[in-house]
Amino acid sequence: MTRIIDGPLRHRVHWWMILVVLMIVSSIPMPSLAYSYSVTNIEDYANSDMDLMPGGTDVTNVVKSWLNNAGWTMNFYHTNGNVDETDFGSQDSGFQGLDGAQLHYHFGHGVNNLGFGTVIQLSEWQIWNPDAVFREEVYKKWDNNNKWAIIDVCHLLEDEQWGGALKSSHGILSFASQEGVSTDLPDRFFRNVIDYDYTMAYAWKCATQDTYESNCIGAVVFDTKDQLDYDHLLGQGYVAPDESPDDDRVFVSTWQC
Amino acid sequence: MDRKITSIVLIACLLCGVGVVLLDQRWVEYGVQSPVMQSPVGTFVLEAPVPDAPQTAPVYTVTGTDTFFKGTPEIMNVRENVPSQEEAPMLAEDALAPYGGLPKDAVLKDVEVVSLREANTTSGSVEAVYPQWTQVIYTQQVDGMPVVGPGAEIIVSLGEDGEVLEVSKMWRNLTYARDVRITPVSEAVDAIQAGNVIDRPQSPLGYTKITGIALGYYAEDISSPQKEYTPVWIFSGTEENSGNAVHVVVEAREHPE
Repeated sequence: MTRIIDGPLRHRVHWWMILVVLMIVSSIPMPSLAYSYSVTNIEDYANSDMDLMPGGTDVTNVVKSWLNNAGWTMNFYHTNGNVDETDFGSQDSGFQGLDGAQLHYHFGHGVNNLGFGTVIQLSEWQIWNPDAVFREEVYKKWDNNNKWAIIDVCHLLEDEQWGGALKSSHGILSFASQEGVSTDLPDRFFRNVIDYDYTMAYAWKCATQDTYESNCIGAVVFDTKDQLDYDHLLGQGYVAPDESPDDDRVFVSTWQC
Repeated sequence: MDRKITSIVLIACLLCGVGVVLLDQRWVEYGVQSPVMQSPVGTFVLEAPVPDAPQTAPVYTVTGTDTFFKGTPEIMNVRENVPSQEEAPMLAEDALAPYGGLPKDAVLKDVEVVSLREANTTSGSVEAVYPQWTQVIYTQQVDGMPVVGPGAEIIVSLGEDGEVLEVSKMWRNLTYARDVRITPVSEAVDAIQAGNVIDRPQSPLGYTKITGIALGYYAEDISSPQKEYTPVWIFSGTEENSGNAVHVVVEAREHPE
C-alpha cells in the first residue's frame, strides 16, 4: 500500500517529527550546559618569599581545561592583587564573587593564626598587614548560586567554623594541614568527578590521597550529611537538595592523605 | 601561695633556659649558630639530637612499581563498629594477603579512626562524632632507613566489623646501586634556611619543633618516573599551631648530579 502524504498533512507530520526529535534531545542529560565556575589565583605575593609562581597558573589551566571541556563556562578569573574579599562572596548585594557560580576554585596561601582561626591570605599579606579573608566576613553569605568551593590552600579547615559560610551552598573542599603545589591534585579530582562520576567528597579524598603523603590532612565540610554522601558534580549525577531551612550544623570529615 | 607559684614559674623558666642553652651549644659545635631557624619554608626550632652522619650512604635503583587501588565511595558512610586502633593492624595485614601480603620493607606508620564530626557553626562546638573507617598506614623502610613522600605508602581502610573498604598501595621495588658521599647535617640546616628543600610546602610552616633528624629517602608521586632513591636528610617534627606532623626533606648527597 502506498501512502501519499501531501499538502497540510505533510507539514503536520514534519512538525510532529521535529517535536519528537526535540523532546528526545531535551531528555538526554546535557552535562553542565548551564553551569558556571570561577577561579581566583594568588601566586604573586608582596612578600616574595611567599610567591607560588607559576604554580597557580599551572593549577588554573588544569581546572579550566577540565571544566571547559565538560561544557562549563567561566564566570570570572581574578588573580593576585585583583583578588579580594568580595571574590569570596562577602557582599550581601552587588558582585557576589564565588557565590555567582556553581563551583569556585581558589589557589594560594592559607595560615592558621593560633587563637584567631584560619584565614585565606591575600596578595598584600605581611605579618604586620593581615590582608586576608576571615571566616567572619563570609558567615552565612554563600546563599546564591554556589554549590561548592575548592580552596586549594594550606590549613583552612583546621578551623571547622569556615562551614558557617554555607547557607545554601553545599560544601568546602580543602585541607587541614600543610600541602604542596600540585597540578596532579585538580587533574585527579576532576577526573574522579567527571570521568568516574565519583561524589564530590569521595573524589577529593581520592585525589588528595593519591597526591600527598599521609602527613597531609585532606578535609571537607558539607552543610548536610546527604550532600557529603551523595553530591556529584552538576551534570554528572545526583545532587542533594540545598539545606532548608538553614541551620547552624555542618558535617566535617578529615583524613590522612 | 603567690610565692609558691612564683617559684614554680621561675624554676620552669630556668629549666627551659638551661635546655635551650645546652641545645644551642650542641648545635654550635656542628657549625649551627642557633636552634631557631627562620626560613622561607617556615620557622623551626631544632630540638632533635644531632645525628651521626656516615661518610657514605647507598643509592637504590627503582626496578619496578607496585601500585593498585581498590575502593568504594561508600567509605564516606558512618558506621557503628569500626575496628579499634589495637585490632586494625592485624586485620589490615589480612586484607593485604590477596595482594601479595605486607611487603618485607613495610613498617607501620599510623592507625587512626576517621570520624565525621557534626559541628555547630554558632557555638563552635562539636555536637556529635560518627566513626567512618579505621585507617592503617604503612610506609617503606630501606635497610633500616625511612622513606617519606607520597610514593611509598600503603593505606588499608576498614569498616564495620573489619570489612575491607579500601586498599591503596604506592610502592617501588628497589635494588642497591652504589654508595655516594653524604653532606654533614649542618649543610642540611643551611639548605633549610635558604629554602632549598625537596617538596616545599605550599605555605610556609608555622612554628615547628624539629624532634628527629634521620638519613633516608624521598619517594616522589607514584606517577613520576623516579629512577633512583638517593639519600636525603629528613627533619621530622610537629607544627605547633595545628599539631600536625611534618617532614622537611633536604638533599644529602655531597655532589648531586
